[in-house]
Amino acid sequence: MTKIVDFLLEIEKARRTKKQIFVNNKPIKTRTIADHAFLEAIFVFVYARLNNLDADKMIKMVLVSNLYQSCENEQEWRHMISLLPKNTKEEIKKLNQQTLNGKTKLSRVAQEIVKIEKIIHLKKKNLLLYSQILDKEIRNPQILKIKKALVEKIDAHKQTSQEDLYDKIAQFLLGVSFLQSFKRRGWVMTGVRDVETVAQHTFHLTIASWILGEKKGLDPNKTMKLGLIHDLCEIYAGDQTPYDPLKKISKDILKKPARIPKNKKIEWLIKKKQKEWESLKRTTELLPREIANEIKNLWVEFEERLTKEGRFVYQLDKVENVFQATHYWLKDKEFPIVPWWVRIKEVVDDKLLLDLIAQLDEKFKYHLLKLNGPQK
Amino acid sequence: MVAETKYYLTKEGFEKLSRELEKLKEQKKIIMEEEAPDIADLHGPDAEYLTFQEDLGFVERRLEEIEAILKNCEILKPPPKHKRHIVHLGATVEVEINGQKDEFTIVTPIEADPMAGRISHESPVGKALLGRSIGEKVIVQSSIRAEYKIKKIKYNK
Repeated sequence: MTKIVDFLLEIEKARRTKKQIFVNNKPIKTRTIADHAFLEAIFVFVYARLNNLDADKMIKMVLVSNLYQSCENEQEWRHMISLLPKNTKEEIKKLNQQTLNGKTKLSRVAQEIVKIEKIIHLKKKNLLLYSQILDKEIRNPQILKIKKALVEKIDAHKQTSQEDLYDKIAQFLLGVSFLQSFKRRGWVMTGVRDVETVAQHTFHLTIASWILGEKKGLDPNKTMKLGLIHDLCEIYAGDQTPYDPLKKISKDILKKPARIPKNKKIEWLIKKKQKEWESLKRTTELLPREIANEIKNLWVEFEERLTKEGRFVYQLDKVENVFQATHYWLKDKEFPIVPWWVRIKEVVDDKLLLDLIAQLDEKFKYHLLKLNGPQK
Repeated sequence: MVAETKYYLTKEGFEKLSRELEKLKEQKKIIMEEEAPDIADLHGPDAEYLTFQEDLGFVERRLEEIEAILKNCEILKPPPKHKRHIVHLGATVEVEINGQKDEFTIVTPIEADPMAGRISHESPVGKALLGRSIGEKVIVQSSIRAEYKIKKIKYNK
């Protein structure tokens, strides 16, 4: 488990490293690798479902190829995957090879999707140039149609046609792309710099859900998808925090574990869920009914913890926050890490996740102990 | 012969699962009759979402799970009066944590919802509180030390 803790800390580099696009041989930096990987994974999920392809494998290909890109060299990559259990390591190595070779149908489609996802982040001049380059590189007619719809929307603000499936998918992707720039409010409130986006958090959780779901003996494809879609509800609902019922939020409140009265907490929770549900319905209504239903089912499974996988990923989501809080605290020792460590002991009851937290605790024990202050 | 798992539920938890079971049965009937309506509106939190489920496999799996729980469950009863100053499963505990007040109901993992104040008896805090009495200070062990002082213990009748 110590190695998995190291792996989960290492993949932070995907949140820091920016992805480059080459337009006429000029590099253009866009968003971070984690931001892109999130939207690419959502895109391949929808595409695979539309075409009866293996969505789980395609999502994994996208995640793995982005992890690979986050490493500066082969040595770093080999070290990163050496931290994983043997079976997972072998699977990841194989998936990465297939993606790099581009010899299978799935890997070719995944590569084409990865290319057009970047369009969303290009400004007009580069967008049109890049779009022309892609016309020569993309063979898949469906992906070309989605690309065309995306370019028309971004370039000419074309309205969405209710009859055109590809137009609606393009609109859905644009909606989801909002999460690539949407900063998580819990961190914003603590005043940290370089606040992670919802997409970056989701990327981290999706990988952790896959790896740890496998280790726990759950259905890793299910846990991975639960992680991937769990925050799609925030596109129109925003990122609501448990501190919302407080009239005034100061940094001092966040330094201590702010406690909200139970009745207010429940009232807030009901409103939060309703808002998120409405938002998710609005987001997915652009998709074919079966795909929309699958996403909504996954979300309910997660949110209501209806299955073993749902319960596990729900708790892992909270654990992921402790990992992120640790990153902020390592950068700035003034960051209020204490509430995160206190709360997690109330939220998690899964044995594997408790072990993961214990290992993380052990790793930083020396510094964490100093935060207790004098004992009475 | 493998012993079946025994589930301990609060009265509210039992009622909630029973309501969900009825809704799932209705939903299954609708799906089987191929008259699945469009996504229904949400009527409240938790299991009410299930009114929209159109995936028969999902509905059936959840039905089986709830039936198994309800078949093998025991509703938690408050302990005898002379033991009510001690935290047992199902107790609502008012605590002071590092100087701040909060309230938890200690439940089994299937009912746990920490955001709504229901924490699992298998979580480190739940575990630490069980068996302790009013006035006691409970320390949850890890590098970061959290002290939970038990102020009140309540049981639903």
